[in-house]
Amino acid sequence: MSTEYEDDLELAGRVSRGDEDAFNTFYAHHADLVFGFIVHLLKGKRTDAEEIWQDTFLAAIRRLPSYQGQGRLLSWLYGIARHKVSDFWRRNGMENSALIGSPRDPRELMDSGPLPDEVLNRSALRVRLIEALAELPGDYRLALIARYAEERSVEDIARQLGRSYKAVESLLSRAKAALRAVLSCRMEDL
Amino acid sequence: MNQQESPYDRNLEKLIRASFGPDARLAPETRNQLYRRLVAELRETRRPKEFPKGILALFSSLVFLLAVTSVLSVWETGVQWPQIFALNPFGLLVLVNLAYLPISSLVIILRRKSWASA
Repeated sequence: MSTEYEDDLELAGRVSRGDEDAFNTFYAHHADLVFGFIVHLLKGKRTDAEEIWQDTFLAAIRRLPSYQGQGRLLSWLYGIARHKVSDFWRRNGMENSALIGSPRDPRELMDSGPLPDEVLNRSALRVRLIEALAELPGDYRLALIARYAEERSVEDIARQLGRSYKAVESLLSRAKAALRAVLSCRMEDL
Repeated sequence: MNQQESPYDRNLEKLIRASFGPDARLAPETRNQLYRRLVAELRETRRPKEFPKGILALFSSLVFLLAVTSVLSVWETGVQWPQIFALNPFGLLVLVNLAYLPISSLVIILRRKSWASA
């Protein structure tokens, strides 16, 4: 078994044993990301997304003892969410079209000028980004979301992480490089 | 730092911002609601499973009835009380069952008290 995900495995083990502090960490680190993932898979259907998000977490709490650390805990949660979303599409007799791309290739556009709104609003691209974030180490993910999604200052993040301004700048730079690497693989099947 | 940023980096930042925009954010109340539900679920799974009380009560009642019937059938033959228990082992079960009721009640009262003080 890989030791890469030992932290996740330990966290899952503690939550399974009923440790509420561990559960608080688990929920704080994953709840919003899983919701974002679901809402984009459902192309912005918020009400349905909330329902599926609740089902996902309830199922995850019950199945947590079966998590063996074979991937990141967040990816494991996405797996459960993806199944729930597929069931939703099937129940409603609709095709899961969130992952079907459009003719314009975002791989080329990412390196050129500013990304057009038409591409930026594409659910498939957002889903890929959220999936890619799950594969990053926890501190990379936290820093990227705090800086660019929550638009917090570098000083603020440095205070939260107990690091210097320079260290956080460097962390953000490494996190973006890592995200770019993961994302380029994931965009191949867009 | 901004001066060194490539178009890719700027697009990445834009994409992160767009992916976690207001349409993809949870309402705090919804977030707290599920939190409370999950904590309750977690506490429920942590609680040790108890032997089903209904089955225990049914089994106890059946044994009690069997024992009473058995003792009565011996008593009808005119045997004296102390001998009934000697002749019929089911007679002992009557005593055990009679003792079980106050003991189990006491256990329930004590457990309720310990839950209340927890």
